[in-house]
Formats: sequence, C-alpha cells, structure tokens
Amino acid sequence: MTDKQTVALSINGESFDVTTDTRSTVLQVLREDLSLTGTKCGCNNGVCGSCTVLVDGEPMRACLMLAVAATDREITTIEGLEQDGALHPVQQAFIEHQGLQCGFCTPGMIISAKALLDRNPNPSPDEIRSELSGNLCRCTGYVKIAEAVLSLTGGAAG
Amino acid sequence: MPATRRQFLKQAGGLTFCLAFVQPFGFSRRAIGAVADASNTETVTLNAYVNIAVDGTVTIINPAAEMGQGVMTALPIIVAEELDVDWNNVRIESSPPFGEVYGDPAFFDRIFTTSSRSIANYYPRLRRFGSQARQVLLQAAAERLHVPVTELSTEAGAVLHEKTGRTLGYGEIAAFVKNPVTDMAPVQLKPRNNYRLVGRKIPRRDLPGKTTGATQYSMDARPAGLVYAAVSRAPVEGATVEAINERGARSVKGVIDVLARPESVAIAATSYPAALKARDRLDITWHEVEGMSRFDSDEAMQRHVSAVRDLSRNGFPWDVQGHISSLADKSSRVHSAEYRTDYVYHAQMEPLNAVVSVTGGGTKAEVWAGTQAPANTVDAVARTLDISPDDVSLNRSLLGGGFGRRTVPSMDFVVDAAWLSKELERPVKVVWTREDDLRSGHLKPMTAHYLRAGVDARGNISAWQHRVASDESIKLLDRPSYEAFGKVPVTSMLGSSHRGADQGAGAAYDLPDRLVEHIGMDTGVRLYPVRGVGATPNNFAIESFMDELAARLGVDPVAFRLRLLHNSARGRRIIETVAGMADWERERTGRALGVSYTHYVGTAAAAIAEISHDRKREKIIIHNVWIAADVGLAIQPDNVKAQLEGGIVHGLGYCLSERITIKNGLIQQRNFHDYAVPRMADAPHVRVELLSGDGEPTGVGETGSILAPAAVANAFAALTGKRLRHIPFTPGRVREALNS
Repeated sequence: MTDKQTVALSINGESFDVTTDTRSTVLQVLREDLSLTGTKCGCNNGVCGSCTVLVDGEPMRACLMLAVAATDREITTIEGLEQDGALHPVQQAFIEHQGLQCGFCTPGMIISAKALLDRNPNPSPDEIRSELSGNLCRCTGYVKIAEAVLSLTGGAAG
Repeated sequence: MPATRRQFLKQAGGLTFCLAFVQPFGFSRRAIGAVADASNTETVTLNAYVNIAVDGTVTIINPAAEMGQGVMTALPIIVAEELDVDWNNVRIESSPPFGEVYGDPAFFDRIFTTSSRSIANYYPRLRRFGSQARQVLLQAAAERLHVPVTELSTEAGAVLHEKTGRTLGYGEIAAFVKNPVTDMAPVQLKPRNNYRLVGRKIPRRDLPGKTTGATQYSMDARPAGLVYAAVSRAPVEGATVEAINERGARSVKGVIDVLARPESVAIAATSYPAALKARDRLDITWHEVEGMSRFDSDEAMQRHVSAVRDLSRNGFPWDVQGHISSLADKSSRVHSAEYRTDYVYHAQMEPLNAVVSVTGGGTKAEVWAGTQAPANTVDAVARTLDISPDDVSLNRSLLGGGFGRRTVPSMDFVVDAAWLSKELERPVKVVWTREDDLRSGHLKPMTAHYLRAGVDARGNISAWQHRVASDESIKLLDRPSYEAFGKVPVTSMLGSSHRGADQGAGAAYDLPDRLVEHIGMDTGVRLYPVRGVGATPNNFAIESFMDELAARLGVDPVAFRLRLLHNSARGRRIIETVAGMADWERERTGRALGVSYTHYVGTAAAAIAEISHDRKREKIIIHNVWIAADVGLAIQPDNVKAQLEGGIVHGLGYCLSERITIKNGLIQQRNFHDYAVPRMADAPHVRVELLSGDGEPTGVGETGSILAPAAVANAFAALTGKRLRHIPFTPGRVREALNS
C-alpha cells in the first residue's frame, strides 16, 4: 500500500490532479501542493475559521476535510473570488469598511460572508453576527466586519 | 534583496541633511543612471525616508512593523503631508531592520513596534524628514528657475512659481537635483490647518492584498528547496532534553532527520504534515527545572494575594506623593478592596513561524519572519549560528497579529529554523501549531491588588494606597530592556500612577496623598508584555475601586470621576462626552451601565459598557460600548477608531473568557476551544467619538483593552449589586459573586 494518492480536484474553476499523502487535508493540498497560500491555518482544529473555503458553495473548514472527500466537488478559495480582475463585492466591502486589520483571518471571513450572503441576501445584523461567529478575528472587534457585510444587504441602512 | 546591517550606512538625522545618490541599503538600491529598478525609472534618494523617481513616484520608508494596526500607511502619511506630495504617487517600503534613524527614540533607537507608541514617537521625526525633503526640492527648483526660493510654493508633488505660472514636478526635479544642501534653513513645518492628508479618510495600503490572499506572511514564504520542521520546545523555561526516543518518528515517510538542541527537538521532513505526524511519535523526556516543574498557577495566586495583603512588606514605590499615614488612623473612614487578574496569552491569529535559509557553509542567513523587533530577530539568528549580525538578512513580513509576542529577544519562533537550516543545508520553515503557540506562550503576568482609600468629611479621597503584586513581565526574558529601563517594574505599573503629567498630560485624577507600589514576585514563568500590559489589571483595580468608593459615598460614578478630575478639563470633557453618548442618566430595564477611565501613553479615554446577565446561560452579555478618546491628533481617524473598537473587544476577552492556568509547570490550554477569545456573536456594538485637540498624536493601540474590564465589572455591580473582583469573570466566579 502506498502513502500517496492522486486526487482530482476542481479549484476556482480549474482542474487539478494532485498526488498527495492519503491523509492530506484540503488545506494541505491548497497551501503545500498547489501554493494557494491565501487560505490560512490558524488552529488546524476547525475552531478558528481561518481556513474556510467553499465546497460546492458551502463553507467548509479546509483543515478538517480530507482532500479525497473533495473529489469531483467544486472548491472556491479566496484566490477564486475575483472576476476578470475585479474584486468581488465582499472583498470590496471589507476594504471600504476597513473590516480587517492584520488580515490573517480575512480570507476565511470573506469566504464565510460570501456563503452567508449567497444563502441569505438580506441577513439582519444579528444574523450576520451569529452566522460569522465561527470565524475568529483578534484585531477588529468585529464592528467593521459586521458593517461591511451589512452594507451588502438589501436592507442596508448605512 | 533584503537588507543587512552591513549594507546599512548610518544616516544623519536632525537638521543635518544627507543627499545620497545610492540608497544606502540593498533592498532597493537605485542610482541615477544605474540599472533601472523594478519601476523602470531613475530614482534619487533625498533622505532616509524619501526617494523620488523621475516619473514623480515617491517612495516613503516605513520603519515600524505592520501587524494590523495600520502604521505602514499612517507613518508615511506624516512624511507625505510635510513633503506636499500627491498620495496617489506614493509607494511604501519597509525600512532596514537597523539604524537609529529608523529606530524609536523611546526604545533606545531600536525598531520596537510595541506599547502603542509608533505614531506618537515617530511623528516629530517624520515631519522633519518630510519637510527636509521638500526644502531640497524647493532649493533645487529655485536654482533651476533662477528665482528666490521664497517665491516658490509646493502643492501635490510640484513646485510652483506663482509669478510666472511655471511649475516643476518633483519627478522633473529628481532628474537634475544633485548638490547636497549643506546650509539647510530651519525646517518649516506645515501648520496643521494646511493639512491635506492627515486627518482625512485615506485607505490603508495593506488592505487590498489581504482581501485577495495575495499578501504573503512569513508562513507563506516558499524559497526553493524548502523543507519543513515541527519542533518540540522546552515545556518550561530552562528545561533541557534528557532523553529522546525517536524510533517511531523516523519510520514516518518523508522524515529527513530528527535533530536536537538542549532546548528543542525537531523533526525535519519533506512536508509539514509528515513532520507533525512524526513528532506525534516522538517520546521526549525533559529534565525537571527546580521549582518550575511543579508550578501551579492557583498556588501562585495565593502567594500573590498573601504578598499584596502583607502591609509589613514594602513594595517598590512607583508613584508617591504626600503621605498616607491617615490610612492607619482608625478615626478616619478607610475603605479597602482586593482584585485579581489571571494569566492571559497573546493569541495572535497567525501561529508563530519563520523561514531561514543558511548558505555559504553556515556563514550567511536569510530570514523570513514577522517581527515586532527586527534587530532582536537578526541578533538571535546571528547568535544561534555564531555569525555576525551583518551576515543575516531579514525579509520583514507583514504580521498576522503581534500584541507583543513577536518582540521577545530569544526569538524562540525563529531560531530553530536557523540551526536546522545550517544542519540540513536547505531552507527550513518552522511553523508552530496552535498547540505549540500556547505551550510556548509568553504570558501577561497574573496580578493581585490591594487598595485602600481614606475619605474625608466632604467625601473627597484624602489618601490613596494601591499595592500591586506581580512578576515584572520583562525581567526574566528581556533582560536588556529591563536593565535599560533601570530595573524597575516598568510594564507592571503602567497605568497605575496618578501624576498629572504622566503620559496623560494633565488627565490624572487628583489624588494628592498617595502611595502606589509594586511587590515583585519572581515566578520563573515565561512572561512577556501582552497588549495592555500592566495597565489592564491596574485599570481594572483602580476603576473598580473608584466605583466602590462612589457607591459608599452615595455619589454617581460619573459625577465622582468628574470631581476627581476637577484639575483636568481634558479629562472632564472625555467623561462628559462618553456619558452623553451612552445616555448615562437613562434608566434601563434588565440592563445596566458601567464606566471606566484611563490616561495612557498620552491618550485620555473613557468607556461605558451596557450589559445584561443571562442567568440561565450564566452569561454576561455586552450589548453596547461607547468610547470617547482624546488622541491629540488623529493621523487616520477611521483607523484610530478601528484600534479602539478592536481593543475593547480584546479587553472583553480578558474580562470574560481568556485565562491561562498552569499545572506542573505546563500551560493547560491547548487551542481556541479552551482558550476562548471573543467571537462575533459575543461582540458588542461599539461607538467611538474622537476628541482631537491641539496636542500631538498619542497612542491608541492598547487603550480599548485597558478600559473594558472595569467598565464591565462596574456595570455588573450596577445591575446586580455584586462586585466581580477577579478577571476573567468565569461563570463560576459570577455565580460565587451572586451568591455572596
């Protein structure tokens, strides 16, 4: 039995055949095998949310998901949000509202915010706070993150 | 190419001006007529902070570490303001790691991005350098246009001669400016009412790259040939390896070697997962360290409490004025109280890591690290490899949070990559797991406080005594700083003094008869300054006690503070503003307000927290926090507010959930599941009002984290009539207080 396997992954619309350790997580494949270092590792335990990616549109902890389990599913990372060189509206809103400081939690936070808005385009302020609670941020106090996400909702009151 | 000390030539600061055509450090060496740089333009170096390219691009050097607080934009704005440049044409580069021209004067001219000081400490110097560069451009333009320099003005990157309508762009001048100016006129600093950049909404330059994943932290560095290492470090300070059973580890596929030093054991592997997997199979026995291997934080707290209560034990007199003998007088009314704070940990989001590539047979090293003290990093690597610091080059990565941790002189998160790279003759990346990051945590010291105050017939505080028992956070692990500051408890006692001019420019309470003293505890625990340093516990104790005194006297807490600030219009304005913001007088149902006030690194600030208590869930809920702060001059007001917001929530972590316990010398917490930092659902709505006066900029990085605990404790007392005396306010402690 070999310790390596080849997994077919679709990441940000591109197909990859990655030969990696049988126990590799999605996070390891992204960061180490494919050099997609935008996805961060803050706890490797599923508690901090820094490694959040979309798998078939659902936010998942890349550190907890085996790469093999993502076979034939569409993975979206922070590097895949820009369209034709333009920032995604969530990225734009985080910049405008200064919803980040050190930036280490930001890729995961933005992915989680995108997933929330895709599922519910009009979350209330309380829904935003509750839905994004899986993503830890040590710098911002979350105030401006909540403002950034709220600015993207139909009910934004400024 | 990164900078090394050898390439750095000391540059004159002050009023002496140095015009150099070759930038004196290698990482952006450019010269007139030399090989073009990346932007394909010729560039002239006007001084240590300003380079101008012939296309008009201005490169401004940022000396401080960017760890999320925004200095890499704010500091260059100060230069750009005096230089009168179009901000859109400004590029920002990191300074080299050394040199007094880049170092912070308050930290012995070392780059030391800590203590909320960067903006305040660099402001005067950066104005001068910006202004000097502008003067050189004016002088050169005057010669070229054959007009007196007094007829010239500048605007947005150009020199104007109004009489003739001629203009010369800074880039045009860069193409011909060549003579060093030796007889510089005294620097003419711009009057504040002419500011066009300072105080405006200017986006931070670091944000876009951080939202796309493009920003590279040291964790993301991947030089060619990189291998990975997982390291087990001494579990307590001073412990060394006794025995290693490495058989199981070596059988893991991908393992290159198992290597050890007295204080660390490393697995090097071709992939990080392989290194981690192998490390799990390592069996390491560490020598016991006398005293430390049985250290228990609960017992230590008892020792702190005993020491602080023992009035026969004199402390180090930190802030003394008048006399407090009336406190011993049985006839006067004397109130006393005790407070405690537990160990906490930095919990920056990026687990510590570094990459080092040693070449030349062990004679040269290149380092990738996010560091708050670049010289400490270079020196630690040089020491480890036994080479000169001149042979160490440093890539100053952006930091995924710092909060003090990345300043420690041992640079424990960097040095392992250095010796491993030397052994393996390849670049090595050492990444700590979150568990490693906690296990090697350098903690904010635990503290115990004893306060006594005498109250006279008119309800004024007639005498004040505040005893703080703690281990000084830099005594063990930052000996150079400890000695440079005169071996006094400098970090322990921040925020404890009531001197009017003490960092807070006339913002202190009037406590004319007082003794504030420090009882030093030598614990042997790894400590280091953590955001808020001693000011967090000290403020928690002082501001809680103020509310207890106010309650005893039957005075409203806001009115009581206004009375204590009768000498300080600045302080009163802060209290009045925050009371107005919170609508202090309004009765709440099921909720209550608590106030706290601080003057720290020049900033005077107050916070009011609105809380409720969910008895079923045993949870204190923070609904709203209002902050008023006088920061002198806000360079980037939006970012100042962001610092205060983030600081408050950091401080809520200190007072609600963050706690490190130690058993048998070992930190018990392992990851974010048992070291709980605030989550978004727990975070309050925060509103900030800045009261900018005529003063120079003051520090805000820690202010919020200092204000939060007492505001919450005071609100809890207002809500329940019960006093919380020990942060964090765990459900058990809250229950105990409610049942008392």
